[in-house]
Amino acid sequence: MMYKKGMGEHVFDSFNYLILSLLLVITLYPCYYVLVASVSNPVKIFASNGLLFYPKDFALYTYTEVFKSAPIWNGYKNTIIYVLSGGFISVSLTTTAAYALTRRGLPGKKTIMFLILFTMYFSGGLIPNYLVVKGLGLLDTPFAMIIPNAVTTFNLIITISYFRGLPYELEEAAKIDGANDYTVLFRIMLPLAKPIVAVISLYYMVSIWNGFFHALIYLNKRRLFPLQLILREILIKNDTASITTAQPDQAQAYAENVKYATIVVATVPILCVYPFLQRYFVKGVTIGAVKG
Amino acid sequence: MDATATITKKGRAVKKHIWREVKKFKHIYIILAPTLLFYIVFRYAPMFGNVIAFQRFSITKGILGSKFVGLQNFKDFLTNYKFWELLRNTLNINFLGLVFAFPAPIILALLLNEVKRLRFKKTVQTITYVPHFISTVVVSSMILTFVASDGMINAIRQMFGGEKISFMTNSQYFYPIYIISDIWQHIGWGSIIYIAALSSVDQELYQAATIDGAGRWKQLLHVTLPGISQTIIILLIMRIGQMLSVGFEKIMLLYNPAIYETADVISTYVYRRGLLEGDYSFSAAVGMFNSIINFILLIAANFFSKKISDSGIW
Amino acid sequence: MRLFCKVFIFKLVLVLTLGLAGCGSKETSNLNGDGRIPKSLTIFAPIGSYAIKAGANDNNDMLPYQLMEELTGCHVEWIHPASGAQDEKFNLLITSGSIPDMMVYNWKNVPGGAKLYVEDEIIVPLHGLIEKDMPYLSTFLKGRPEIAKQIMDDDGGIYHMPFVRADAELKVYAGPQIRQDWLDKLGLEVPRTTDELYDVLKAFKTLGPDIKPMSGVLFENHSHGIGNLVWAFGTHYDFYVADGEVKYGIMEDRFEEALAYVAKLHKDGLIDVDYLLNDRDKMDGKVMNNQVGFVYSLQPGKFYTSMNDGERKVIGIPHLTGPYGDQNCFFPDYANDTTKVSIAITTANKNPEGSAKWLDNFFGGKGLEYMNFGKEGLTFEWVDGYPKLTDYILNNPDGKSIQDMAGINLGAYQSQFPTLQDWRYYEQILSDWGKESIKIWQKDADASGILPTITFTEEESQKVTQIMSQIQTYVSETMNKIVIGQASISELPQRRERIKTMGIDEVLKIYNEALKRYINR
Repeated sequence: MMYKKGMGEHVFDSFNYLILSLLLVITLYPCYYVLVASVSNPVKIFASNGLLFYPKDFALYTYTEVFKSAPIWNGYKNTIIYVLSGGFISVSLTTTAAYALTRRGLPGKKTIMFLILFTMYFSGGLIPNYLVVKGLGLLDTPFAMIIPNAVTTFNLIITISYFRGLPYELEEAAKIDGANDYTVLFRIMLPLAKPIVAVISLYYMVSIWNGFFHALIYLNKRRLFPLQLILREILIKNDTASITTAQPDQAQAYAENVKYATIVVATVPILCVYPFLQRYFVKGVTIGAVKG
Repeated sequence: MDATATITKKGRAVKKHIWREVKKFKHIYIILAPTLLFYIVFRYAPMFGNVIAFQRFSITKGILGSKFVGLQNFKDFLTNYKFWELLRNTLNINFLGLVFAFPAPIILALLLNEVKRLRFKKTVQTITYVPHFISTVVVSSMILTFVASDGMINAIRQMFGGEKISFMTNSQYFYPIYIISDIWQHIGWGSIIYIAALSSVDQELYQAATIDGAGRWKQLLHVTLPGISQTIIILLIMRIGQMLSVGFEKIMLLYNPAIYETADVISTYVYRRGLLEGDYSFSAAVGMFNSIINFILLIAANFFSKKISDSGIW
Repeated sequence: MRLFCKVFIFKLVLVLTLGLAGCGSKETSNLNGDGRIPKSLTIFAPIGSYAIKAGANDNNDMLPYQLMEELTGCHVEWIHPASGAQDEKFNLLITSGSIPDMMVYNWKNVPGGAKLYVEDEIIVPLHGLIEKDMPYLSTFLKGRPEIAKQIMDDDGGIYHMPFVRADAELKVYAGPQIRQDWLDKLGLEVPRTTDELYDVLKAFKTLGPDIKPMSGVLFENHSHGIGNLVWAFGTHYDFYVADGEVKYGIMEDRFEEALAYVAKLHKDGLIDVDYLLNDRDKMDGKVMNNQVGFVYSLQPGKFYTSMNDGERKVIGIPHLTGPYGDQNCFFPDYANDTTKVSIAITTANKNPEGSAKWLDNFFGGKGLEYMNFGKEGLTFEWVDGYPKLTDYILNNPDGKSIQDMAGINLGAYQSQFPTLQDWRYYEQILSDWGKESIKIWQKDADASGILPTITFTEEESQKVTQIMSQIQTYVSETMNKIVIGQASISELPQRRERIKTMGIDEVLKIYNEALKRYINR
């Protein structure tokens, strides 16, 4: 049963492809710029009139600079640990809670929802949060990177709204067949929720990957520092410290390039996660069409 | 006497009823418990710290030892000579964001949904989400490079015979630059959630619509949009609940004294003041003020949404 | 893991039941209070970024601190805040009650003043300890009363000890710089006055369409701002001292003329139109890319490494002279012998006397040598009484850069720990252009108008910051808008009125009183 394409359809399609291609160029160019700038001669990129199409004086200095340092590698290791373990805990807490909070007739559901929402707007601020983390003995442990921010209300809300859309009949049928709540959750609901699990996994992993503030506050031991914190220090090294003690200004001309190389180094690994999860988004299409 | 007896009896019955209900959901509560515990410990317990908004907080004296000053910090903020300017700018940025930046990812998702070539679709998706990962520091530095008097934008303008414009010293250009760069950076990322929502729209509905002779436009209006309306509404309500918040970092990196009058917002002001004075109490007071207004907006938006479309956050 | 869970749950209950009072007990180290140097200390201090880059995890990975441990037998547990988080970390350590034995911090500018921290029993006064337990430091301070004056509070007490630039040359590290080769090409002399500068910039402009004769950053930036041009008119964009009185530049008559001069340069296309968009990296990039002829900047070390190709040369020129013959420089560090970072001994320290004795090694004897030059035979040799740095630092056989080697081997170079900085190591790692420039700047700049490091009482500092946070924004807006032509100079009187209503007079009164107290120290 193919619908016959009319003239309008073709115009629409071409128009659509045109717009998306344009968007592709607009998005890609600045990213390409970062990449090209990171392997260019630092001084030459200032002569580029803002436009840069190919590396000027190809040089990998910035990358050797970035990768030379041992802390970077250690940072990678830490970040990967935090992302995997933190992502797992976060997704587990969020999906289980979302499942529970979408059960029909659960007493106190409205109140709990309101109280959760409330925390999006009112929080304690830096000092009390620190006191809690300190009181629990989490300071200077990897747990400080995972637990204090395990659940993001926004993610919880979108997960809840997804669960709400799942057919209730499935649960009822399973219950009649004698399944308990855990079976319903793990055997029926979770497989159906793959698309949203993929989305929030990505959200959580990315936010842990990019996060540095908690490390800044809760960690003292440098060997626990995540990648982003190390990179931040590379980024700001040229300004602050040398000025406060007025040291011989030996800083080389690479500051701007190191900035770009840093982005590339910090971004590429997490970018690779998306295509894997994207598969689940597409799979979600077929699973989403399951009938009762 | 008689009446009260019935009431207590009734009360007892209700209590018993509730207890039975709770018992029925025992396992659900167990499943929920870890997350609730998280909220209690890491979200509610620290909230007592908000008392510093009513104090002149001193780090040496701590929360228990600092002096209470009542609403002084709030008064300081509301009577500040810049208050109205800051409020106006904050609302301007958010309003423009709501009109232009909010729909952008939805449009992208819808356009992508119409693309039948899977490879192209995937490519667009994967690439548009890349800018989200570039840190604010670098994005800002790139923006400043591109809009400089001899930067890319002016180079293109000159190619078409235009005059050079000093974008960043003219206050009228600040909002467009801010909003457009925001869209650029977050459109792909923002569309992820809509794409996921689209993926769960029932494919049979499309088939049925096709059989009914609905064209693509009609399908879009009657199948696709309703399919993701829930997601749109929830995100819209949340967005409205942020009308008084703007991240300070990007603005701090972009603005300069010549455009303070349009670019200076509440958060940048608080940041500057915090930087000068280390004034935790003041920022706590402003934070609380913002939260209250935002929360009221959220509740109002949710209320109207429930009235009109019967969907909301809770 | 199980144990961890149990402990965690226990603590969870504890935290919740105690209601998070936030009054954690002060953690103390096991020190004996007998006045001998303790076996161990915990110290909060920044860490040098070059040391980090060279692979150091804390100061104990740096040569001077290892030598110091050998010398004193005291092991230090360092708490290093990540760069950019010093303030938060400091505040959190204090409020949460986990105060280390000593803290290196910007004590000069803590809200309320360092004295408040003494009164609230966070830190202990140092002056008694210096007198009794720190012979090196007290000898130094007696020999340099002008430095002692900068360190003490109005009441004569010393509460924290800063990093000291012990030689005069160390204070001068930024100033005006010009493309010498451009001058030569055009057959021009080094400009000495504001008028001559105008002509020179005008000539630079003819060198090409992309040339921005002068570049800089935000008007009111001490080291790079274009507003530094107003110094030649004997005025400043901030507080300064003239005729024994504190003045606020924009309120003074001369400022109008000075601002008009800068605005004229901008209008005539002699100042980078994008100066407001520049940060230091961008500005430097333009210089290195041959687009800029004149800047205010740090001594040209960066330019030396990237432009030293035999043709190009950026060199410092003397501070400009204005129409009234002033040759002022208001860059605060020209007059300050100390930096912002200083060390204080806390009340958590059970052995302040012994700790002071330990600290004294950073101000004299072998320890001071370690901090400035490292280890004899490895990083330096004594040659005719001069500590000559070896090739291990200056020309490393493994090809490591000077900053990496200095970063991890020389304590005074970048680790910011209070000590007496020595010009002799500094000049050896300084670029040739840098050394030349410093001599030129130092020669005849008039730094007498620089406001000394006055201190305020708690009440005063609250008042000042409250008023000035408003005024500073407004003044910055005013100056920069007038320069780029978005506001007219004729608006200045009216804008001054506004600044008056914001309370500048009250602030000036406080400043003047503080200055009086400073002079009487």
